[in-house]
Amino acid sequence: MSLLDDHVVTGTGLVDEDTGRGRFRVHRCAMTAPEVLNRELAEIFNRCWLYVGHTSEVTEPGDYVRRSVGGRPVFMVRARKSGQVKVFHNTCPHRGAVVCRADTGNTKIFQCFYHAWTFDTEGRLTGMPGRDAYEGGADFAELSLREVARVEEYRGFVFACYDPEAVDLVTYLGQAREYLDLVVDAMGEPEIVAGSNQYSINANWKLLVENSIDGYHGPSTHDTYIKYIVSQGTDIRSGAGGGNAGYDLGNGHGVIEYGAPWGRPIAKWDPLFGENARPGMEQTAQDLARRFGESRGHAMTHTNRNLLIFPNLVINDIMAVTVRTLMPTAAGHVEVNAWQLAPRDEAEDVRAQRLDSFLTFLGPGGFATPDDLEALESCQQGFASGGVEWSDISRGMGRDRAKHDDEEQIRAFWRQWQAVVEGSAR
Amino acid sequence: MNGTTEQELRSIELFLYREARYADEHDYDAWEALWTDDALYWVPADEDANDPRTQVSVIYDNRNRISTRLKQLRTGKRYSQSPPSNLRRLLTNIEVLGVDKGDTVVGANFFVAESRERGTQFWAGRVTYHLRIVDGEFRMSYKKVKLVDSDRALPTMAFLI
Repeated sequence: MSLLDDHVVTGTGLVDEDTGRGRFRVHRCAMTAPEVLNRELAEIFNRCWLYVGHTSEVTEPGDYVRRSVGGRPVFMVRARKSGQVKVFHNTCPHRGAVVCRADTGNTKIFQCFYHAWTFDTEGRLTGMPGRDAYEGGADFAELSLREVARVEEYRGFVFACYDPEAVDLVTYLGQAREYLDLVVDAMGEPEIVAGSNQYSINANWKLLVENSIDGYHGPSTHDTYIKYIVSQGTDIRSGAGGGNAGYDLGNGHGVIEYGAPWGRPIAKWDPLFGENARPGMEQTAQDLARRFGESRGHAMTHTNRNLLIFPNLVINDIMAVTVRTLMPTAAGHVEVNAWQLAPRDEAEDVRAQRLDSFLTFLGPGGFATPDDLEALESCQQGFASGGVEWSDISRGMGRDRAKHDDEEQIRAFWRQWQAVVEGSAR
Repeated sequence: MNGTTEQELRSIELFLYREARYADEHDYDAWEALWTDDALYWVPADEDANDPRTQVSVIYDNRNRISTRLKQLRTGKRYSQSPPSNLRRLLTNIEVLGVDKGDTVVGANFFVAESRERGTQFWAGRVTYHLRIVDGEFRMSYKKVKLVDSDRALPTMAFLI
């Protein structure tokens, strides 16, 4: 165990790739050791770009949402004067109390209730009781709300980074941008639907990263879901020939693409949506093909994609579009926030069908997600048995072009994870 | 509510206790038979959720989907309920709150202990039922389950709450 102790503390040697043997494996202490989590907090969650929220959540001046980003309380606000979307550390510069105490709202000011210091939506300290006591020269600028070191937006997706030295967001997103573009272009103007699913899993967060972009487990874990949609008239062969593939997008981002075996609420009609929805959805498919060309249009309407933006943002464009972040609270525990993205101008009945489609599969009470969570908890329980040190992630290594049910996109995550955790990505 | 007799309240309580027992004991056939054809079974996700057609929920089932949920559970391949959770629930503070489209609206508080391999989980909240007499028996046309912690991260909820 002494060798292992070394690896755990330094974070090196936990990912083992041997292309000659076609073998890729991850040491299971990456999922179980608290020391590894400490390194992840320092090297990953304090240095990478992390998703905060979507600009559609703060459209009006003064709109705000409170979030936990990388395990830290922050809030995002549409500043009233500048109109900018700002992300602040949620702590009073005076003595520390949380300044934004509601999940969502609209305000002119944020006031810390402890000593009633008041800040405007630009973050400036504008007032405090007994200001004359500070005539000795308090620097009001210094005592304003502190913005997160870096905040940038890509097509409505707002990211923050606690490392002032980080590369810019567009460089960071790299090739993942084209897949975000597909999701956004298909919707025209997307918005986050009201409400969210929050759930927790007694498993390491990286098991959910793997699961979110794993095309291999569907037929086994979700057999009952697939049988259900078939019983409702879905023709799952309709997904055949969809260019099934898995890609390493660089920087730890990965994606799988596959022909949708089920309906997609943008424009792949399915009996579950009802006959009334059919003409509108077929029209949308034609419109997108005309605007973006046959091939790109088809990718928007008929192709599923499960996209991972390193380290913890998942955008799954499947039977609905879910935007999901995950954050570990312990080596064996992760908390998930899941939102839905939808076209802003979506008709009322289509929106209701989209929500229905989402819940059929997704969320803590859906017909599929609970079985994923069960599988991840089962893995974590299995790790405790010991005896097997490494998990195998070699599927499809010999192929020239990885398929969506191979594990290339999962390897993409692990390669970057290793580089970042051991500090060689800097 | 004014106009509800002791006897009516008692018969309502007995119906709700039966519903709770069927759910606790995974008696899916008996539980399914308690619903009307226009049933809605709703577990909201957010504190202020008021419209499941425009907001994200945890569960929002019509009668067809309730049936699907139970079919899935009966396969034995609903892995998050295989083996099923060991459940017992308490139902208290039962009150008749009014009438909605001819159905009797009943409110209650609940507390569920759920034991599984992952550990023991407690669920608590407010439940609202709409009850209707069909062929001389009570049926549920609506059950809304508002968890006290629906605004926090929930563990898997694959059992009947």
